[in-house]
Amino acid sequence: MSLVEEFVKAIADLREKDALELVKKLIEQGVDLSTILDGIRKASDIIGRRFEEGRYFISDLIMAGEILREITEILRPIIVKEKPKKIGTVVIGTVQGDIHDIGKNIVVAVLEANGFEVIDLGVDVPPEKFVEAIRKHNPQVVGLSCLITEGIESMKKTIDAIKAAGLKEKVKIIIGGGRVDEGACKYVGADAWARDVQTGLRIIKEWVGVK
Amino acid sequence: MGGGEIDVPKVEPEELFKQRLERLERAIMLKEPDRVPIWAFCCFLPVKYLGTTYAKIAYDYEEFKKGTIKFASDFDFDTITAVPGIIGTTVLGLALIEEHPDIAPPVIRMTGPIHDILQDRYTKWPGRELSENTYPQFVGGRFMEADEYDKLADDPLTFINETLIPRVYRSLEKPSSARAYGTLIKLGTELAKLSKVTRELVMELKNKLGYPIFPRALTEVVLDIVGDFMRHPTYTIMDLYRVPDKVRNACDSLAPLATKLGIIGGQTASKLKELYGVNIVLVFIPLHLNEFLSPKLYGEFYWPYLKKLIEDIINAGFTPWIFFEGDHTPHLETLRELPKGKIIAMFERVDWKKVADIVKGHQCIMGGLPGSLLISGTPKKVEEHVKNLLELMKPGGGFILAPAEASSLDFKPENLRAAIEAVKKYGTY
Ligand code: B12
Repeated sequence: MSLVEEFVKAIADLREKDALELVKKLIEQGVDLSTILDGIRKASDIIGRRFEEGRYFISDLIMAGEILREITEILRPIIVKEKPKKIGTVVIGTVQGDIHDIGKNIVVAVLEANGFEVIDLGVDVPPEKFVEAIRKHNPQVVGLSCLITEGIESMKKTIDAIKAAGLKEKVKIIIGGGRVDEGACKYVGADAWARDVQTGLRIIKEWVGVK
Repeated sequence: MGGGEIDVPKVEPEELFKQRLERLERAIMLKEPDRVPIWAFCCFLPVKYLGTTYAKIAYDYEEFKKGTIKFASDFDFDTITAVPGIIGTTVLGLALIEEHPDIAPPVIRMTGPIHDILQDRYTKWPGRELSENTYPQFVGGRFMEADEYDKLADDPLTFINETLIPRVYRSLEKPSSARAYGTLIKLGTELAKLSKVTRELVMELKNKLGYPIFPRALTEVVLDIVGDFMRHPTYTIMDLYRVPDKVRNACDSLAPLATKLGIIGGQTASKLKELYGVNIVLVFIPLHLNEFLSPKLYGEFYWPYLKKLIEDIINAGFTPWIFFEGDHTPHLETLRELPKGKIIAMFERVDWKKVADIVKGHQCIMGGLPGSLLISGTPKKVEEHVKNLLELMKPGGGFILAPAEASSLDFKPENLRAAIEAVKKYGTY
């Protein structure tokens, strides 16, 4: 097994120490950034698949998200220098009135691992903030996360504000989080909904035109 | 709602109370009642419908009482659970459980005024940190580091009292201070006010509206106590991968305290049985990290503690009311290890077919009305939903319909009405 393959396997199997050691080794050995990033993408794919097959659970996703975050931290100086091409930009946040962010943070980690530029607005984000961020960052996709039923109204308000600002034509909007469904999606006027990160990733990739 | 549409009870409150109580009791005991009971489970009252604000409900107990009465009289439920605040201070209950068991159980409640007194970092409130009409927020946080598990395991009470509490409650930051002493006195006074209003509310619900209310206590599974009040859920999960033995040791030494909180709470609540006119005393246990865990981690860090907690509470003569938050489907089989017909199992977004297969006939099942349907659905869709659900869950008894989430029900009244009508139409035996 090559070092990169070992690296992919360590991430996918959630062996934190091994994965972090291996990424350092890869850097030391001068393996280029795009190969490492490709490995991260592969690992994240395997993790997503295991989740869909019911072999991984949320706890595993949290740990995976943490490992991906730590690896990105280690790679940051190189990323800053080499500026690898991003496959798209996503503005994401937990809507106003809601502070749950565990799921959103997983989505952020997975999107970043897949080469997206992610603007994370945090939690309890008022509609104006989303509008402002869309103007500033020009994303193709906006992701709204919400875990409380109350948040459905907030998502509607947010999307209404995006429409009122004349920005709806420029972005695709996906909503996610434990309590969203088809009905909520229609009601708030989003383009899609997802109750798990893998479905969300697939939809977002489709929107930006990557497989 | 316009006055004309209200289902004014033609039956005397006394008679209604008897009917509803029997309906609920039979369902809980896995028998067929006259029809499926409806349990209004609201973490917070529907402020928009009631024409009030979150700030008023959270800070003014009279407003809370009025709101609950209005909600319970506008809609024909069988019982209602509403609190003016949120679960916020379970650790304070644990802190006192050995020295002062008589006052420990009520101390876990958190309302607006109590937040003002304690200045806790767990919660944010409308009209304070939040705008007037924002839902109160339990935000939790990380109040303990991973290298402190040993201290927690060695002596949980000392750790909670001397390390955790000063970190969480600004007013108790300096234990031997006038500020801390005053805080405790004020807390006592406020809790007395709260329990007086609660009692008045229950009596009004009973005597004027014919609503039975079961006295209730609360406790949590140890891993959730660690997640909610000490380490934050995210870090607790990571700890299971990084320092599993330390987490296990801490859970082992905290578990007896959590059990005690539930049992002493049950005993305290039992004193109200006669006044409330009911025989069942509930111990509410909301589960948080259940959904997060793989069956393997669940079997190691969660289920053994939950199972023991449930068994001890049953043996003490109370009915554990377990709220399986999130999607509990992967862990349903474990419920069959429990003695039959002794708990209320409340589900959220579970696979109902599997619940019917695995849990039905074994435990009383509750839930089934998603908040999103009440917000974004139509009366017709709601009726369809309830009809289908009842087809699955009604046969043989042991089912209670309830809004599945502790939401504030920012619902469309016509949808809730449609749900109740549907139960009356399709839910009779
Ligand atoms: C952990 C938790 C908390 C933690 C949150 C910590 C944090 N920083 O996030 C704490 C303890 C602080 C907390 C507080 C509260 N909570 Co809470 N909480 C939960 C719990 C147990 C788990 C949520 C979670 O993290 N799930 C795991 C993650 C990974 O799942 P997820 O978010 O769904 O994310 C996945 C997908 O949905 C998707 N996804 C998520 N976001 C997005 C976004 C996009 C764009 C895409 C594509 C995909 C996507 O990807 C993720 C990975 O697959 C749930 C119950 C449950 N099991 O769902 C209750 C729950 C969400 N909480 C609830 C409540 C009521 C509250 C409080 C309001 C309580 C209170 N009264 O104070 C407060 C919140 C205050 C507020 N206004 O927000 C209710 C909501 C009820 C409702 N329907 O309205 C729930 C459902 C519990 C319940 N049944 O009563 N909570």
